[in-house]
Amino acid sequence: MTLSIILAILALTVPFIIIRVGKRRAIAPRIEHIRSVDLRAFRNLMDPEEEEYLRRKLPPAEFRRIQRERLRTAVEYIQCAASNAAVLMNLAEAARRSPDPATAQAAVKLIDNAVRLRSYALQAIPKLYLAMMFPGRRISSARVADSYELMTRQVVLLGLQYPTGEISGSL
Amino acid sequence: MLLLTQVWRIVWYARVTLSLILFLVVIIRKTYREFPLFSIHSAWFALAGAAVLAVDHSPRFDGHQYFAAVAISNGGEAVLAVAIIYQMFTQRLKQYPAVRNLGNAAYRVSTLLLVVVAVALAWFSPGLGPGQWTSIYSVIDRTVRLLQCGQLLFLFLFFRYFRLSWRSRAFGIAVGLGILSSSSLAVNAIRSQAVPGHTMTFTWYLLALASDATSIIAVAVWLTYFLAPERVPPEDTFKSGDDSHPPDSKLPEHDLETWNRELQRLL
Repeated sequence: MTLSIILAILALTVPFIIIRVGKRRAIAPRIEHIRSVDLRAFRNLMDPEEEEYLRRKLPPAEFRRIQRERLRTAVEYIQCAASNAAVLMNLAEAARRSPDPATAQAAVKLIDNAVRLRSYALQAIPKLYLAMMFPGRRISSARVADSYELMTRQVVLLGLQYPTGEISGSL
Repeated sequence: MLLLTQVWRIVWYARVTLSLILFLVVIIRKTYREFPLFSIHSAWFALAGAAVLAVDHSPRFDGHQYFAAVAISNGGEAVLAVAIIYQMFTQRLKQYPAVRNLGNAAYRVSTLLLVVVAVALAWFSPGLGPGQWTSIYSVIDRTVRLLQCGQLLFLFLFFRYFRLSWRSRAFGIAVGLGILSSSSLAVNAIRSQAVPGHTMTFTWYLLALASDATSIIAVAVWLTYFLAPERVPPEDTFKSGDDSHPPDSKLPEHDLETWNRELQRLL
């Protein structure tokens, strides 16, 4: 009986969740939401050699604390990159419908890469949280950085054909 | 009790009438070209609903035959709804190759998890009923509705995360299905425990009324989206060479410095 009541309550929340998520789709991320990502700093945070150096130099407890801080910062970088990718997707969706084939193609590539970056972010963030719990665990987020770099290039390319504002400078 | 029965019958007729109107709108607007599965669904929903109504009124059919008609009508509708959700998901992913593999894998995993949850529910909370068939029907219906609700939630959250755009009519179809499947699941969950089989109690009528009322809301949502013109996002109106740029973008006047900086960074 209790199980059925819980199920009924959960079922009744479904339309509200759908409408809430659907409402959010109308609020497209704007160019002002772009935040700068320092890729060099991010790569440094994820560098295994850097980690190894810290491990050798610091006492174990201190290393774990520092490593957790580093990973937390890395998560923030990834969230920032994923958020930028969402803004760029919004812009590229508009450019994709341009009658100019070159612009449309550049936009499709940008969307493709932005989606890829968000997919990598989705996979990397849980791994980073896992690594925070077990600081000795090795993880690689190189794909996020590479994808972000590629995306930045594609914004520059798209900017040659389509008004992208000063996004490329903000990335 | 008599008043409740009368109200339920009025709502039932209204639901069937609205479903038939929806079916006509789908045919007149030639929506079957764009949404073939949804067109089949609306045809089934309208015609099977009308058939159940006819079975209820005809003295030739007994209670068991009425139950069979309801089971076939709901079963067909549920299967078509699952197919629509899957089709909406795969068709949208075709436009985004980067996320296609991840999306398909995530869809399969989520479906598997939902099936496991549904089977566990069937094990721990089997449907009550006077006969074996009513219990089996109740459990199968709950399983399919749970699957539908879960898949719709997955669909919305996945599209939301990856910022995959919805076309307004597809969005309307999904919202309507969400209302229909969630209310069916809730009604089924309560009915399987509170009402033994198809005994006509006050609770039974109340649940039937709630089910038909929410079906009307779902059909009204579909009608609204299909009667309204397809919403064109502002960015769709952009034409190269026009002065009309998307609202979010500004034409850079002196962007050379930014590009220079970017190219230097890349070199």
